[in-house]
Amino acid sequence: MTSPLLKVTDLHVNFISRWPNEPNIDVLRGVCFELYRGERVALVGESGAGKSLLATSIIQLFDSSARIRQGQVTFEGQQLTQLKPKQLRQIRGRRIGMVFQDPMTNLNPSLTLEQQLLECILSHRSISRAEARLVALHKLRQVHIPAPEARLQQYPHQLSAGQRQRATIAMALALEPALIIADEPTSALDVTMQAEVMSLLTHLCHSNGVALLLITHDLSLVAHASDRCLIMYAGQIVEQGPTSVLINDAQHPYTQGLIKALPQMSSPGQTLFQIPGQMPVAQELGNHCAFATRCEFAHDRCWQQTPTMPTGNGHRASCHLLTAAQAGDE
Amino acid sequence: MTSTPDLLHISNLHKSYQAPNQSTHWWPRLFNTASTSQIKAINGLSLSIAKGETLCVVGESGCGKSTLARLVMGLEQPDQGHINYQGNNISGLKHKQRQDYRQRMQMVFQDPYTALNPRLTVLHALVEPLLYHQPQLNRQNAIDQAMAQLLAVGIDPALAQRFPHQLSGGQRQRINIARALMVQPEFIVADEPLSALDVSIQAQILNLLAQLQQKQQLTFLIFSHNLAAVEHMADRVAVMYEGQICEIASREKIFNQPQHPYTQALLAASPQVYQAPNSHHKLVGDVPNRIPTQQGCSLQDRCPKAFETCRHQTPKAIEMATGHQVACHLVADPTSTDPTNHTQAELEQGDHHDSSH
Repeated sequence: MTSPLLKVTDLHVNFISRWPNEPNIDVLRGVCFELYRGERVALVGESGAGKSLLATSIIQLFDSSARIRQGQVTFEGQQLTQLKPKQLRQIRGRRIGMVFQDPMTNLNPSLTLEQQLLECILSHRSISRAEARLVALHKLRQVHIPAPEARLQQYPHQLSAGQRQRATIAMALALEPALIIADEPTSALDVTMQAEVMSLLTHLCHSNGVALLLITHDLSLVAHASDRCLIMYAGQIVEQGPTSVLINDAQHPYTQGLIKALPQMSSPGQTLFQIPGQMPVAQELGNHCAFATRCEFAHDRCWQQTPTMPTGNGHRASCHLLTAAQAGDE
Repeated sequence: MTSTPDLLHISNLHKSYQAPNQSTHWWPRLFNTASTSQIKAINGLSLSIAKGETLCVVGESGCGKSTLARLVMGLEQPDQGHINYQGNNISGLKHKQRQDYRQRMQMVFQDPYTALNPRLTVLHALVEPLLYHQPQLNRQNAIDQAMAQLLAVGIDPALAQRFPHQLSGGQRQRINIARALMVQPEFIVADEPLSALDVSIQAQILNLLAQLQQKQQLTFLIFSHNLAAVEHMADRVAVMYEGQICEIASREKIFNQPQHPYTQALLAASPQVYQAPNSHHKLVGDVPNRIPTQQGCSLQDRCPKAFETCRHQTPKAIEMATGHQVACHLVADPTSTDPTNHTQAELEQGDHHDSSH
């Protein structure tokens, strides 16, 4: 079996508390996952689950008050957690591209597209400006931006929202990275633009063999745009598996709730299923299952012990109900 | 008057804004001498809403949804056309005359994070509109009403003394809804009430809206681009493009037998969990900016089925069945086009036009 492109093992990230007597609380609590070349993996969870923090922890783009307390991030055989800032800069942008949520704040409003794209290319490759410009044009064509020569001279505000997001994808692709991390790339877009951006990302990943880590809160979006799915809740991955299997046969009560809450899942006019309560904040997490406060199946064991994710490759979830069921089978 | 009188009736509404001066030279920009053009945000729109129904308006950003919401609420004045509320024209009313209507129609804004004043507690935010509209009201009485309203939207009254930043997104949206309901309105305009929320919280808000509508016989005008949510809550759906309604029908008609190519494309683009995405009805290009006043159908450059008539004639709304109106030449004359022989040329032309602005 080939070695994974990205391997995150037991990652704990906390924020350094401002007050000396307050403990630092882990926001990411032991995240483990693997990502292979050319694979599209979706990371799904509510806001506050730690999705974006996980994405930024991989390339250490997070806030200066955040620290990786424990765990390893291995990318192309390199330990990213042990690299010096200068070495990390060689990887960011060049080997791992990033697409952020809001294309308007992601692009610099006072620079033309050419200046931004060329800055990105020239800081990593020693080629002439003319050559870099050709690369930029080629990438803009790849993301279906019409008349790229004219677009290069324009500022971000002169593009439509969909074009802006496609331009940031072009920028992320400019150095032919092995992995693209897309943090809610379509939340700021309409359904038609969303469909276009998603089909573009899928197509580019297939044709260039780029792996994609797609972060979103919308399960219906990932259903056809990812190969594998990771469900995140309160700083942990609670369920993972191939997307088609996971969506048709969700194991964890949280995933089941997320799917049942989709408006498509009940007939019009019916009361929708809603997961009661809300996600606990990091300070409230005790030594029990993080979902126990909202789970309709919670029993004694859920309050005494944190469930662990079974080892393996396939579809698995960290829930006491499942381990109890498996023990019963044996 | 018909058997079910319309609560709100909009006829031939127009609203345009001045386009920013595109001149690159400083002189015409400074003195505004270059010929400036108008952006038509609402372009001859007609619509009516019956009492007690939920009408959802869907469309891409830039199609004029928010402008329509603001015109209905009187936050903007139309250039032309009428908005009748229970038979009275309310467009162009003066501030004082408008007071009464402001109490009867309320708005829920899109972003729960910016719609609440960060310096007011929840209680203060709820009591303020009530005391403004009913100044004679006893303060304690107003507070009691606010507490009751909090319970009605499912918020623990213990949170009344909190500030917006101490609440989650779902709680804030509930407070927004509670604030709109404080003055006991009969008509609610909600501009994208779900777009800022997570899927699990969307379900809570959808249930809340349905429950409130049943209890208080509210009429809803909801603007959204979330088609799954629209399918869940709407009685009727209006599809909007370029400041006009291109198709309006009951929910079942829109979702099961969409007639307009734009409606079909919107439905095809909406992500589904268990169905494979449909790529037959794909639109090309982006939403055009509305400065050039071109002839013909506004969708002509993006529509995969556009033909000759679409280029020079604006389609009129045609009543297909009772309550199902479509503005499309294809529907008017289904024999006029053969969809096989022009798709590639149309695609290229669409791209070409897209690049020119």
